[in-house]
Amino acid sequence: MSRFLLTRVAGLVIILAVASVAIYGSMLLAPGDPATLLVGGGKPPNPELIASIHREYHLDDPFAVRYWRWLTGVLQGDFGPSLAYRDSVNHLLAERISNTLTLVGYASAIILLVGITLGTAGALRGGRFETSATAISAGAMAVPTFVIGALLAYVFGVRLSWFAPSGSGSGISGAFRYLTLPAVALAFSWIGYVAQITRTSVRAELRSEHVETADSRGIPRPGVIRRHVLRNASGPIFAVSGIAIAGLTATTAVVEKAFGISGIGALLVDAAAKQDLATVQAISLIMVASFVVLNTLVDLVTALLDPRVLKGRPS
Amino acid sequence: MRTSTRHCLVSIAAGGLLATTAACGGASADSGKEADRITPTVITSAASGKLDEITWNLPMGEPTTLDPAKVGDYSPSTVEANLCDSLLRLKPDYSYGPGLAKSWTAPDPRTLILNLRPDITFWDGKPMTADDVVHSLTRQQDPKSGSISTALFANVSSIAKSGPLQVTVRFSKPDELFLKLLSTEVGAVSQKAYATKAGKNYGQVAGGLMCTGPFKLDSWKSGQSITITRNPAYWDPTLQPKADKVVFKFITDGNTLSSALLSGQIDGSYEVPLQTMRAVAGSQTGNRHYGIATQSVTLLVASDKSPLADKRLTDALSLVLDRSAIIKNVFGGLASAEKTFIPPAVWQSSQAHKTYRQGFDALPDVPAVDVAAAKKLVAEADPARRTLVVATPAGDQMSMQILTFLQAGAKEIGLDLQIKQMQMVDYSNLFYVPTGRAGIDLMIAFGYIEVPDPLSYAPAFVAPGGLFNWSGYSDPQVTKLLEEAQSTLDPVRSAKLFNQAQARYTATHPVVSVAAPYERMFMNKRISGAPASFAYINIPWAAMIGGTGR
Repeated sequence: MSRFLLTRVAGLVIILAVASVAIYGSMLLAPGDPATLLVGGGKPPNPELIASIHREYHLDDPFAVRYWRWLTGVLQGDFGPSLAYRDSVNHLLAERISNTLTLVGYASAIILLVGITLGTAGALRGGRFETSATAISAGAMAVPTFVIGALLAYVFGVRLSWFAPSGSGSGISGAFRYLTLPAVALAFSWIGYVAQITRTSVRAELRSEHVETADSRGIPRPGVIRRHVLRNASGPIFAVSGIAIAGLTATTAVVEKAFGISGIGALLVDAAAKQDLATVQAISLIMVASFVVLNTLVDLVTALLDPRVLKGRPS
Repeated sequence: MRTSTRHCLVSIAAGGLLATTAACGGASADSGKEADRITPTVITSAASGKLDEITWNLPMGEPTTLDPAKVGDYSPSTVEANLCDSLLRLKPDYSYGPGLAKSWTAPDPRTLILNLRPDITFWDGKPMTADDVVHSLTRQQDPKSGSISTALFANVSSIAKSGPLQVTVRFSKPDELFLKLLSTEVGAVSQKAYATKAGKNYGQVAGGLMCTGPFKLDSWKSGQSITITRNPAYWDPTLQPKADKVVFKFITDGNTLSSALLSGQIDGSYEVPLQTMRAVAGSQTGNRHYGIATQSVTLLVASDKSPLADKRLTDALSLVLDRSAIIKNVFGGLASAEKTFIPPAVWQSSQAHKTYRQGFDALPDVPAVDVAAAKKLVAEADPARRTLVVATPAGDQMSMQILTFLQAGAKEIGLDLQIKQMQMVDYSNLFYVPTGRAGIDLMIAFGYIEVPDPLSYAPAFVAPGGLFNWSGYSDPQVTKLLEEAQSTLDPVRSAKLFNQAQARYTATHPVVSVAAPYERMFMNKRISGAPASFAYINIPWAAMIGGTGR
């Protein structure tokens, strides 16, 4: 087990190192001088100002020098200064990350609750209910996030005024008022995905030999479902849920932009447009890291649920 | 940095009257026909009710700074104008008057004496002195401070205190423009002790501000909001804030802004995207307002190597550019065609407005579409290359639509126009980095003019080395006339010199003026009183807003 963990952590470090070089390099390759965004409107440029921005942010240093400066900073917990926002990246992230985490957490809860319930109910009840559950979840998977976002904001934010159509609040009531619509929009297509997988796995377990045997031995149906069907189906369901939640960290940018939420996804989009290297680098790495960590956790839990996975590994 | 025009502006200029927006507040902008009836106004109906809080949007996103020496864009200026008073005060109709300086004199053409008001205190209660003013102006002048306005001080030789409440500016040569600059953020006064201590953090999230304006900076939550609160000790009885606080949000997405305005979550916004203006049409929540503006859309020749540096070709493009179709379809009727890049709103409140008007009226009219004449010009010019690249900011719908019209017109006269969409940084580079313009023939630019004086803008286009003069245009006579106009302190004589220069460069300078959009603003029905005109960008506009009781 510890060996399994160790290889995973080593893998994470290697992935982050490779990703950081790749992202840093690609941003440097992008043409253009981001300093011109700061010199101001239609006034004649102050050459001293452009030169001082270049000096302050070391824009003219070679790649290796800049990367090394950045890396030593990061290892000390400092993501460096943001050129476009004239602020430290740490501060920019600190102001925004709780919004993104709350949003992703809220959406994850919705995905798990609705997706698994819908899928299980569909598989167990069968017939017309199953057909419609399948149709709904297939439809949900097909709707782009920005479309459902605009629709939800209009219906529940503007027409019905149940929730705020944009912005972000604080505390539990703030999260409920401001983040419910974005969380639903973010969860929407993943709900369909999780529901489909849940339905298929539960179905497969229902048809398996040990369930038929249990049924034939007259064990009460609810007990069979709980102990044999759901327990055995939980592996694939958990795996796909993990992927869904990891995927949220990437798609959150779309929802944050659409609902005017100040999170790190929206910041990533803006910073990339302004070629704000330090900010893009920091957020990209956070997203890569959370993706890898979540996937590792999924593997780990899957292994705990089904020891065969662990034993089957050559490592 | 740019312009606008329209005959309806004349009445406002001549009478100085402030029309209310009742006529256009509820009007529809959705068809060209109805839009014809919209007259851009100067200010919205006054309202005096007390308000706890106003939530206002900045559609261009979060400001990167609020330091008066560094603001030069929509979002920063919109906020900063409420915080830091300037030495002179700009009015919604583009006239100007005393601000922190109660009077000024020019004992000789190279000296400007500013007499400061004695009753001004900063937000912390300390009195404003001549030292603060000298320090603020010197920061604007000093390249090392990171100021973006240094070039505007080219003729200034010294800035010095000449009394406890008096500052004397001396010039190496007379400069009629400088005084007017003091009505913008260039003339804003910050407290010397505070700004010195804050250093390069002054005006940033970390450093804060110390000014004298009707609102004080309360908090700036990066990415979330900026909150400004009422200054209870404000000196100007005519601009006492009626709202206790104003919270600025940074919604840049048009759809999100529509929802926020319709639900009442956001009370108002300047620079509302046209799609949002359409979405909120007929809403019971609030009213749309259209104001006079000094904004404009211009096609700039990007290189002296381009075939378009030949004026016959830009004239040909101008002749096939269907401006009425563009104004109707791209701007929903809410713009006027431009015959020059300096729109009348810039000079309409000048003492010399009659002179400027004569010069403006004498310019050739906006050309009607004339393909035959355009073809003839192309044949005469016989360009070495007929495939031309025009640059536009990626994702900007309005620019893309305008260029699609231009492309269609160009095709009729045998010019193949290729539209190149450029990312934000690349597009910004076009303006400041010469190599960034390699391979580009033409670029579309949305700009605005802040200072109510044509000389704040014209040289950038037509003087050698001007910020937007990349076509290599140079006419010694024009340059001389513009320099003379700026050195002439008598307004009418200066205007006459400008008119001569304008007549000359309009006939020879390769550029295509497209349209001047009106200012688009939305306010929830519970508030009113804000300026409708684009002059808001240098006015403490939030202090004018009051509750309507609705």
